[in-house]
Amino acid sequence: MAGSSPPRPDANPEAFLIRALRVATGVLLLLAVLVAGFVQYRRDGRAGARQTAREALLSLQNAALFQLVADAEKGTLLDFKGILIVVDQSLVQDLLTAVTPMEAEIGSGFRVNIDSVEASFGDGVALVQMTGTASVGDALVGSEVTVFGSIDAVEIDRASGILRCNVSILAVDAQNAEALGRNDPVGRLTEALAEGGLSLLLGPLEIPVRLEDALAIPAVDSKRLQITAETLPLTVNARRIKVFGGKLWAFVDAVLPAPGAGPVVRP
Amino acid sequence: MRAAVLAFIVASSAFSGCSTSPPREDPRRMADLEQNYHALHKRLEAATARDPLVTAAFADRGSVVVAIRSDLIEELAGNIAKRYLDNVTVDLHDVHAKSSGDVRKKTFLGEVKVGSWKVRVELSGLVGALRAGKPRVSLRAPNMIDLEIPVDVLETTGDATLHFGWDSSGLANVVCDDFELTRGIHGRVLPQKHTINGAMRLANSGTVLSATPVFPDRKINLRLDLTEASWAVVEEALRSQDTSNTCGTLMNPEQGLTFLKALAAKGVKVRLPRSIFRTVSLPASLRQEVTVNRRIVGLSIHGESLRIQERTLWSSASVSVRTGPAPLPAAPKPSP
Repeated sequence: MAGSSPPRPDANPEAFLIRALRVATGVLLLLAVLVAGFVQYRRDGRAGARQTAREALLSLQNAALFQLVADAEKGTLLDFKGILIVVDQSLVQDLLTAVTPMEAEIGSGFRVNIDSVEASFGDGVALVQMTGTASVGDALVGSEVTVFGSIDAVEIDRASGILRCNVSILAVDAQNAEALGRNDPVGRLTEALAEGGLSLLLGPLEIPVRLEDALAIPAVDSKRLQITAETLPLTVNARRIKVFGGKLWAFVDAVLPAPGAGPVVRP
Repeated sequence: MRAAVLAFIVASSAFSGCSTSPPREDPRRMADLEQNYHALHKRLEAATARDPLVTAAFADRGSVVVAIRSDLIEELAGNIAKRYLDNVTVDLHDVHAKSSGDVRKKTFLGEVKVGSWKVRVELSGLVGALRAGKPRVSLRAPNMIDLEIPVDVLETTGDATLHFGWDSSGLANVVCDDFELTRGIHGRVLPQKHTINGAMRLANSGTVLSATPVFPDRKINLRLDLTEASWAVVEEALRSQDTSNTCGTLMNPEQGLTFLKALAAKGVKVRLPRSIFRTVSLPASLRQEVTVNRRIVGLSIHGESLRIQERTLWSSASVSVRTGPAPLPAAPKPSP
């Protein structure tokens, strides 16, 4: 009976310590297995819910096409009030090709090299598809990747009046994801691109259209009359874009000041 | 210690062993998405084929099309035209009015010419003050903006100089002297309304959309008058010639005044300077270089078309890359 009862610390301190260590090891092992199992469970669950790049793109195109069809069937597809700028996909592709290859450290330790770009504006989404390689740190081997971006907005640069495109990340496809490390490397690459990496890689994308926020009326200086130059202020705002037929359609509102709203600027 | 290391290894291997499996495509879901995509595409193509604005846009060959609604063009053109003719003072110092005529008398030999008169008024110190009303503006295919601008001429006064000459003829010439007189007078431009008709021709240079005024008829018939005091001066001057040797009797001062009043009523044609209307650039233009990927790309731009269709001004240009970009500057590093 006495042999089966737990040793008291004061009876045999060494034996007690060994037993306590064994119990602690067992608990730690159990905890480690539980944590590993939980992580695997979470990962599997997330992977199951994640879409492929192709599926994500197709879903987005369908949503955009649905809206375009609704507008077109109501006759309000091109319901612009002031100015409409229509840009062909070939121009955007030419501009991006002119600056290809592109290379940048995009964050989270990833380096991305782009060697070909394709712009496609046919299906509700102004798709900019960039193909190249991604690698981690200084690794010599990387993975071939396709970065799916889209022009989701245009804005007028307040200083220059130039139309500037905002490109967002849609998805990333990697041929050999293992070469980019473990722990959801494609997800991390996508996140890095979405959180400023794409802008480091692509930089600004300007469309060669300038929209003035004023109308300049030249001066007249003749022997019979002198009229000073005037500037008629004009408020221009890129309101929205639509994408179809291989073109990006940017709707720009242009409003003159109401009569008597304010003085005309005289330089 | 051994147990802690063992636990770490077990946990690490559990973490590292779970490398992510790529997302798998669900074939049924993809088939549904594709079917939906094709159906929507077909409906969009059918609807856009019926849309005149889309058809108009696709008719242009250029890689950039700029479309401006007629309402905006009309508003801009109206404002430009009004700016040029509103609150404008036209200097009339080199404008003059002249007229001449013969005086005939019935004699026993029948009606004979006894002389001729000529009059010239120089508006040396007169100005014309214009105020423009709301122009009527309309677009006219293929590339014109028609303008009809009501212009009010305001009453102004100023100095003028009157030259009057009498040249005796025939028998009268034997007994009568010719005379010429010059008097400083005070004239006034009468308030009046005119309408100036013209147009602006739209052009597409590729980079710039411009509107150039076309006003072939810029003449305004300016009706003038003299102040009461000045008419009195003129009358007095004519009467001063009413002596036997200058034959003012033949000429008749009342008749001279009538001639002058008729001349004033007829008005003076004043041609507005061509330069009053200037070519104006519309607020949308194309640039010959853009920044892409932090590099400057030179472009070659060629104007393709310009037309008015569907109450919209359509212009298009072909844009191609002319020069390769400058070397890439050092790319910014990602923030840690």
